[in-house]
Amino acid sequence: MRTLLLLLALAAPAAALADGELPGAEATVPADLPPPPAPPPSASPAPSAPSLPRLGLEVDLGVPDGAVVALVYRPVQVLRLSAGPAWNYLGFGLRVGATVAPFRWAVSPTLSADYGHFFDADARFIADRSSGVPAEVRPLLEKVSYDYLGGQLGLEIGSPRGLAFFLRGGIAYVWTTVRGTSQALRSSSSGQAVVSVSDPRLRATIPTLDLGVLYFF
Amino acid sequence: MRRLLLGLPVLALLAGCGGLLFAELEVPSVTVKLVDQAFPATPTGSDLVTEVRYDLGAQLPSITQPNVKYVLRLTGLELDLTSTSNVADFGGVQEVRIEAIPPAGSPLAPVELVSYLKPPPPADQNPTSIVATGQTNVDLAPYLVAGQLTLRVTAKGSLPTSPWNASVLGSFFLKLTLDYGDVVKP
Repeated sequence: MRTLLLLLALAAPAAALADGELPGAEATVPADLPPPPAPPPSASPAPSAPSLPRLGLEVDLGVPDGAVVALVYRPVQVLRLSAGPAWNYLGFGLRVGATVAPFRWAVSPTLSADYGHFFDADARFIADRSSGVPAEVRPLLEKVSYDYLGGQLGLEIGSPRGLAFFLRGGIAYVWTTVRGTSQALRSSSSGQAVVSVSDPRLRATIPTLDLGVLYFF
Repeated sequence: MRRLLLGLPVLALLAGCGGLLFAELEVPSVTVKLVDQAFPATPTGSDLVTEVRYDLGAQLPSITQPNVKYVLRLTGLELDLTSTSNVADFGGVQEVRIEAIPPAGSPLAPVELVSYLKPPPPADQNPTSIVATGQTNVDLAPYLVAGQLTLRVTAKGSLPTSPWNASVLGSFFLKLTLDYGDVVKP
């Protein structure tokens, strides 16, 4: 206990000195004293990498994304968020995504995740053409929309602060619910049968591929 | 930490997908209407016991494709009289039971799928159609042989004593799964 009190007694003036105050001392500096010397220059900090531009634009083409023009935002150096409209020949959609680019190399690997939604589009023309799609499926193609969630590994070639080209490949989980009823007349050993299929739901995982260009302002 | 962040989306995809590459088509309502199915005459005082063969493989060709797994459930069965049925109505039919018959040599037992009991008045006592409903959780896939499903129809009551026809409308739930992994295996 005595040791503790001694320590406190020693520490109090030291703390006051550190604050530039002493008990009973004036806060002003006497005029005849020379100004305190400038602090010695400390060791200069290691030069940090210049920060990367935060905003950019991405244009890419792929499956199942279609053609996408997206605004890109970099909240931190290694992460990019993107969002923009998409078009897949049948109709329009939206895509949002995130890309991790941990390296600033001329050729650098990336990891991306995307979610996309394509709005209802009339795809009946596919059945009207000789595309191999059975005519009985035509009613199911009146309103075609789908969603997808994808993960991709990619390579970017170019500058992370300017123009870069990229190629990404991966896998996407795609799902859709088709509204409508398809009817077909079939013959079998049971006789003639009318087969109706209503509101089918499709989900699948498919390989994905994206090719595009990035430009940061 | 960085590795963990990089690996999470991949793990999530793998966990969510089961088999990595697959396609699944789920159809909550597939109806197969067999037009003018022939039913035999039933001697007075006897029950009708007959087997109806559904060639589902011909009507739903996807279920016979290789590498396709499927779940097929009967959700309802309807008998409809038409102008060529040779029967005015189903007023004499008191009860109908329909069972799926397993393939010969199968350890499976016949399973009742749908049934009908004539409702008391004020329901129509001379209906021209019978709607049988019942278990919807029985997977019929093990009961199919080369796409053919055999159903045993048992009817009780005052049944037609001469041959008659009716349209049979079966409603099914169908889920098809194609595993790409199986396709690419040598």
